Amino acid sequence: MTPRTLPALVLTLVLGAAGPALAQAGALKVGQPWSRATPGGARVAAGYVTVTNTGAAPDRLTGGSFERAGRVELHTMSTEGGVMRMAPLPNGVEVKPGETVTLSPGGNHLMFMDLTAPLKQGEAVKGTLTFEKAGTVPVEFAVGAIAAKAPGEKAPGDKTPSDKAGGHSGHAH
Amino acid sequence: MPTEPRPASKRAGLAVVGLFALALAGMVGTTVALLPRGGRPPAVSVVGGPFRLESSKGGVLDSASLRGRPYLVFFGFTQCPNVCPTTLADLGSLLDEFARQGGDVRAYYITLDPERDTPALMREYMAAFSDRLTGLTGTPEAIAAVARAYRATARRVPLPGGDYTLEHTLMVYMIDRDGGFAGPLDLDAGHGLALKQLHRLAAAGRDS
Repeated sequence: MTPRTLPALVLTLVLGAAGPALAQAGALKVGQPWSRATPGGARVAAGYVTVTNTGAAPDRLTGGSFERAGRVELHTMSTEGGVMRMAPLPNGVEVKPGETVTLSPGGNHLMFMDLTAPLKQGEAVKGTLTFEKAGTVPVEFAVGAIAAKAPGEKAPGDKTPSDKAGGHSGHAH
Repeated sequence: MPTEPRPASKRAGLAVVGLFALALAGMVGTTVALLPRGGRPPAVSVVGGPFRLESSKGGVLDSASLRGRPYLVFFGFTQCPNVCPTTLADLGSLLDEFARQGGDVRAYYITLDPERDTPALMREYMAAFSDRLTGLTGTPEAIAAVARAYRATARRVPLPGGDYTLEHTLMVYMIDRDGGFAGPLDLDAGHGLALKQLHRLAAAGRDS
């Protein structure tokens, strides 16, 4: 290694440490888990993540834990005729071989119940995901804006002044 | 003898005339009933209605005090993890943007979970959003009445831990300056369309 490549290597290591925390548990690849900042007084929050099964056997996401929640449940949400429908998923979510399961707003999600403190934008909160076969996987949930619809998205509506580069377009002026 | 049938046919003829008269009267009556009374039909809306609820900004808000100003209504609850906070944040930034364009429309967030959403909790919760949003709560009876008036549904879903969550209507109601329902606000298509809707809402009824 030449002295010239050393700074590049250091930079790569530093960026790598700050970038999306990809966890691997056996055949399961876990994408960046994320959540959203909570309004004051809110006692629940939702958690989202993608899980890809690169193996040959099916597995099942059955739940998890969240450092700032009393307990974690798996729920599903849908919209029917303008009404939001909610249901617990007591059997978890199956991750078939070769498939990616996405927990996202408007669909399946982790429900963080009995929050002990509000979630603030920019925080990383420790937690775990529990799988039937792969066991318990430690993860960190990146906390986005209150209105974030995707991980890392700087959505409009939050009061943080550093969020002028919002990803939304189409505003008429 | 040939005169025998005549009275009978005369009676039959009279009966037919009578039937026609009845039918005619019926038609005229129906038409009159369907005619609008006066030059303008009264502003009747099957969606929406008056409310008196506790405001997150303190005191009681009477919808009668909003007459002359268009506004938005949205139902939810503070323990809603997915749709409510994102919609409120989105609504707040939309109304702030509308204000920068010279408009002034406020939104009222009515809880469907009055047992848990106390005025103090609503105040704490609403602080995360634009000042143009106000949270409203009240007695279970008052909340049930306003939900009924807005045809908003709310259904409790029990959760494994003994807790519950709510399934509810997601519509953002546009209410015009006369207190009438002016249709749903569409937030999903981006702020461009929603701002157009707000401009139309703010202009409606201004000249009449």
